[in-house]
Amino acid sequence: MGMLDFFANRASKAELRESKDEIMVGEIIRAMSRKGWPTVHFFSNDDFQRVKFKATTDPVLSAVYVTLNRVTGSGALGSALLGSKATLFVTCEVRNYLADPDDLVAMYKTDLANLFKLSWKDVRVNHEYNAIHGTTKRVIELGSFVDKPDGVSRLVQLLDQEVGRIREKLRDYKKDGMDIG
Amino acid sequence: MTSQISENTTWLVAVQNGQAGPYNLAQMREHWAKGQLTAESYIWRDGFDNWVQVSQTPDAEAFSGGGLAQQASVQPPAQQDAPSGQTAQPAAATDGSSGDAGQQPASFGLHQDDDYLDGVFVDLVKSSWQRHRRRQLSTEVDEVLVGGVITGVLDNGYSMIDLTSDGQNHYVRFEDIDTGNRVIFELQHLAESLLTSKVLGHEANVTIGYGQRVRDFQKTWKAVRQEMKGGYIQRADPGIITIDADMASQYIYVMVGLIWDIEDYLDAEDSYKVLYPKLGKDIGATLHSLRKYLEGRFGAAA
Repeated sequence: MGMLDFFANRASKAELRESKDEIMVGEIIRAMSRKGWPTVHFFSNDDFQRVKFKATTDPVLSAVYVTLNRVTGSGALGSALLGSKATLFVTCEVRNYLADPDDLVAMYKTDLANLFKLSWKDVRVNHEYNAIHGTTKRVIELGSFVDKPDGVSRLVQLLDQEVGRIREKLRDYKKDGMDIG
Repeated sequence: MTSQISENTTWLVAVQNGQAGPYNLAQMREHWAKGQLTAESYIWRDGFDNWVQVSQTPDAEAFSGGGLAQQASVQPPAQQDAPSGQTAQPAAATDGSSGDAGQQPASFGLHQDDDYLDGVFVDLVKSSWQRHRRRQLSTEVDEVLVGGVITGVLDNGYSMIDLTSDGQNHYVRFEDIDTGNRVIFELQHLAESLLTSKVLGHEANVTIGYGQRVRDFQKTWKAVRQEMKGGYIQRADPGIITIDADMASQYIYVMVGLIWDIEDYLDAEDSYKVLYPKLGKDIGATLHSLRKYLEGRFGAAA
């Protein structure tokens, strides 16, 4: 860090209005931390944030990814015209020590089905080697969570609901005694 | 296969990494009595064409105290036929006091028992996962701490307004929505690799900053720049409070660089657990000093 150039080298939002997605991601990190799920990876830039949590206390899941993609942009004009909408992806991960050949056969069929599935109403399941992922997608209004008194509790409720849906979908892929943490 | 054995007969026993023995009958009886040799163990002696399970030979009776016949010299079949790593493992083979398993070529045992080989493979995968977890933890401790900082600062009434991370350098900015005061936390993990962290510990450069809007920002900022016009100091020493400004939002920040050991803030038994009391104490004390410095030098917030 050179003297007097700290801020010249770091991206900082000038107005609070531009930071609604960061405010929401901060609350998500806090909510997960309260569940005992620490943050283990960040990927963040202007309009896209992804945080990975280690699901240390979950009997089925090994990790949860929350992705917030502010596709509408954060500028004043975009906000005025489109509001502060963002796409929230919740992805849960099951990992086993080994890739079960029977599961791989089943997941291959799922992969084929995914190619033609356009709807996000259900949990999308996919696999990569020994990891099985389930993902849900929602378009949300950031302002309804960030600027409201009960916003944080509704956010926690939403996360619990999404993680719960995905956990049930993935439960059968979890092999007993094969938790890799 | 012959069933004739005598007091001079010796056996080889297949063990985890090859074979052990030769053992005479008394030793085999001892292993049998201790349960180290079982009906499922693979053995070889003169007269056997190949390694066979004890249960498929008449020798089991002798191991448990039955009759004897004659013996011949020990000439086991080729080592690659040994079903390495069966359930029995005579004590003499494990403590190295007997047996020549260490001098034998490794058995690949590709035609051996399916369940047994599956078990060996699973053990290999599990031990690899243990090592992998250690490496993974080494790269994740900084994120665990930064997540803890975010949680702790939000618990004190702030909101996160900036987050930038490339996996090793993390920059977070917070704002108290009511007062407008801001906090900066930046962490650069210096020892992500397992090797480096074992030597140095998980050291990290940490910058903590506290910012406020001040009266007459332009004039204040001009005075601060005047102080640094020499340009000799590129980076302050640890613990030295510096001043900088965010021109876009017209905030003046006071900041301090520190060197932390990340593990000081994580549970020694479970490094995925943050020690919030210590983290809160250290960040709280630092912010207290920074706020005093800022307000003492530039007056209260505008």
